[in-house]
Amino acid sequence: MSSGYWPWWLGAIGLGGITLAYFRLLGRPFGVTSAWSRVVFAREEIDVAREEARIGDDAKAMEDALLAATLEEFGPAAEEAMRKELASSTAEGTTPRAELAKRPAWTESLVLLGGIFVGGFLAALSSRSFGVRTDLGPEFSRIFGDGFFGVAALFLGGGLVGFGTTMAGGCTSGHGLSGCSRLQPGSLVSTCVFLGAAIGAAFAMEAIAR
Amino acid sequence: MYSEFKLKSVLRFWQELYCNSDFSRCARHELSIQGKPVPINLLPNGKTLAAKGGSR
Amino acid sequence: MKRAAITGVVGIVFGFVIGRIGFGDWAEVHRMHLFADLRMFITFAVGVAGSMAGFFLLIRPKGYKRKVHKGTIPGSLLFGLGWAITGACPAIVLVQLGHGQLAGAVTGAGIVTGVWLQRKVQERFRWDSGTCDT
Repeated sequence: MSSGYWPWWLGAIGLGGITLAYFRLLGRPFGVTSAWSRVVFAREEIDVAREEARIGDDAKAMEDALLAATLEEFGPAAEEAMRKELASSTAEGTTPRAELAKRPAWTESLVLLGGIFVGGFLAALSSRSFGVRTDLGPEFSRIFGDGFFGVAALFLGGGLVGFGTTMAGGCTSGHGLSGCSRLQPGSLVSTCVFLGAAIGAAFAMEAIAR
Repeated sequence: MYSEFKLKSVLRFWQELYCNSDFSRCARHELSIQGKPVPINLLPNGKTLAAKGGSR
Repeated sequence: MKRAAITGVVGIVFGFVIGRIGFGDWAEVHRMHLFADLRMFITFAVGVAGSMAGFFLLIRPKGYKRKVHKGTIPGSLLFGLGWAITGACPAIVLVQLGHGQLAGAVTGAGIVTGVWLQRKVQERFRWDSGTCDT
C-alpha cells in the first residue's frame, strides 16, 4: 500500500479488531495509560509482585491461609459460624479458583509500549513517511512556532496528557475504544469530556494563532 | 480480592468489619485511594496472606 | 512469556493501525479536532461500534462497572487539552517517535513527568479512584 491514510472502514476494522483480540487473548480490556503507569512505577510493581508471590499458586493452600487468617483475626467465635456454612455449602461444590489473578508483570507493559513504537515505525516504512526530523509539520509550526515555545508547549502538553490520563484512569484506547464499546459509564463520560476538551482547545489554538 | 475466593462465608467476616463499616481502617482501601497498586493477597488488617501458615 | 509475546504482537499491530490511520501526523489530528476532516472521527466511531457489537455478540465480558469517580472529569479535561497541544495520547506519542519525529521525545518526557506528578498529588490528597468497586 503506498502512502496515504487508510479509509475509515479499514481503520475501523483495525481498531475494533485489536480491541476485541486484546480482550480475548489477554483477558483484560485494552488500555495504554496503565502501561505507562506501570513502567514509571516499575520498582513499586516489582515490590507488589514479590508480595503477591507469597500466596503461591496452589488454590488449596490459598484457601487454608485465608481460613487461618480469618480465625486469627476474628477469634474462635467465628469458627462455629464458619463450620456451619462450610458444611452446608459443600453440596454446591464451592471449588476454589485454580489461580489467583495477580498483577501482570510491569515488563509486559514495557513490551506493549515497545510494540506500539515498532508498529508505528512499520507504518511509517510501509507508507514511506519515515523521516528523522525535529519538527511536527508546518501546521504545528504555524501555531507554536519553530523555537523554544513549541518545545515547552510539547513538554507541558505531555505533562497534561500524563497527568490527565492517569487521573481519569484511561485514554483514547482505554476509555475511548475499550470502555465505550463495553458501555462503561465512566468511559463514556471520560471520552466525551476529553474529546470536547481537545476540540475546544484546538479551536482556541486556531483563534490565538490568527 | 473477594471475587477470587469462593468461601463466601469466610469473606463475609472481613466485609462486615471493613467494607461495610469503617473502611478507612482497611489497608487495601488506603493504598487504593493513594493510587497505589494493591497486592491481591493483602488483607484489610494490613497483613499479607502467605501460602504456608495464615498470615504475617 | 507467552503473554508478553501476545502483548508485543498486539502492540505492534495497534501501532501499525494507528500510524496508517494517520494519528502520527500532528496536522491530521489537529484537523480531526477542528472537524475539518471527519475521516478519523468516523474511523474511531465505527471502530467503537464494531467493538461494541463484537463484545455483546461474541465475548460478553463480565467484571466491574467503571463508574465516574472524582478524577474522571478533571483528568479527562486535562488530557484533552494536552492532546490538542501535542497531538498525542499515551499511544500516539510512541507512533510519532516511530515515524522519526524526535519532538515526540519531549512529549514523552512530559508524559512521564505527568504520570509521576499525578501519583504524588493523589498520595497527598487521597481520593477514591474506583479500585474498591467490586
